[in-house]
Amino acid sequence: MSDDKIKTLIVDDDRTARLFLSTKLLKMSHEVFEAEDGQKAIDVLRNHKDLDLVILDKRMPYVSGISVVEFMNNDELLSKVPVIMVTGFNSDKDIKEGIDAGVFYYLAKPINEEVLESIVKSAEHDIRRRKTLTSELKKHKGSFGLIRQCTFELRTLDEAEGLAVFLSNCYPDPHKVVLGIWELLMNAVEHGNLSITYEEKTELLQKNKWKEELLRRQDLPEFSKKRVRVSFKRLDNDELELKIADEGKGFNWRKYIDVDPARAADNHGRAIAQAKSESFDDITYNDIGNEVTAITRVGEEIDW
Amino acid sequence: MSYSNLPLINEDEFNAVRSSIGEKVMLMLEYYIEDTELYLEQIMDGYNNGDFQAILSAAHTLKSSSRQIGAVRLGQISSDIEEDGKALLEKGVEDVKELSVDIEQMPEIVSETLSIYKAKQ
Repeated sequence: MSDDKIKTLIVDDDRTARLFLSTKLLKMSHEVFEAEDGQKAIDVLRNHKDLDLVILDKRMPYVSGISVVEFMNNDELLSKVPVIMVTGFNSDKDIKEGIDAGVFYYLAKPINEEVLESIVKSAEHDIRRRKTLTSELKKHKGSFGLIRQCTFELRTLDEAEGLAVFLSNCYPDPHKVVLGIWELLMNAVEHGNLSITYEEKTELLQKNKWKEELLRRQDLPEFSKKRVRVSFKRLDNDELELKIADEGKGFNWRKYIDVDPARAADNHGRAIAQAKSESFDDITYNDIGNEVTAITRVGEEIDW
Repeated sequence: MSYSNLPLINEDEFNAVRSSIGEKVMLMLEYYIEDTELYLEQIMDGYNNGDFQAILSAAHTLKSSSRQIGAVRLGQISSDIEEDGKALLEKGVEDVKELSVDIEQMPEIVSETLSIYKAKQ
């Protein structure tokens, strides 16, 4: 993955909060920009569309944090920049407003140093993942528009990454779907076939041992023969259907299909909701949760 | 309600901030002292002029900044002002004098809190 510095914009009308955040982020090797209110944030965003991350106070006078998010959502480049919303967590309504605006990361005030690092690292992981996948997309141009149907089997995360890039080229907007495909494949590998639970992943991420544990489990006898089966079909009704089936016992997918305010500040657990919101028109799981179907509806005239 | 049963400062929380951001805590103190005086002015002016939004906006920010730096008593009264004010506005009450929190305690709490932080500078 790219080792370029993450460029982060901090937006808060309280300068003590900005000072705390900027100091911590500089220690985490970010390049930091600051804005003291929503309007200045919008001005910075207009001039720096290569920003990677925005940490945004929800409640500010005049131009609120939600208004800044809505501005970003209306820009093709900025809409892909993750936002960490900083909120007092006074009510579920606070979180729901952010979720409705498409915010997936939350941080409570007063800011806890360890929680900040955990959430920022979670966002960094997604940012670097998106950059890697996006740069790989450019290498895989071709006659993807001719593909009507294809099937695959995979075992490892590396294979999942390669397949996510390949498959996304079958879609009208590869950049829109590549991360969503990757997240669904990763879920099938790590939670489905490798049986890593939600709580285990929380702890592994905190200890920075997630990747190490995945690689370890991939080669264990009880997991090494398990496969994720993937099929892609261009349906007659102009829909693109992606099915991903793992050999796990399934999971309570209903808890994760939308962002739950109770888990809003967790260091993971938002991938399926993000995939549903950002990449596909519809995502459904079978009853037990070991097969997912992702649908994209396309128009009649597609410029491949 | 009296807030005297709450400590002015939680030294552990302040020390946690200091170990987190190192020498920049001095700059944070400078900002907090200056800004708290402005927020107090905004709250008292809002109270005297009947401006709920001015009170709530300042109380909201003062709540967060105080809690971040370990100013327990000031953080709590600011939080109570914010919650009380929001509840009144939701009921359609616009008279700031209906606030049950005794805003007149604010100047003294601010003064005592800032004295401690000024001594740390």
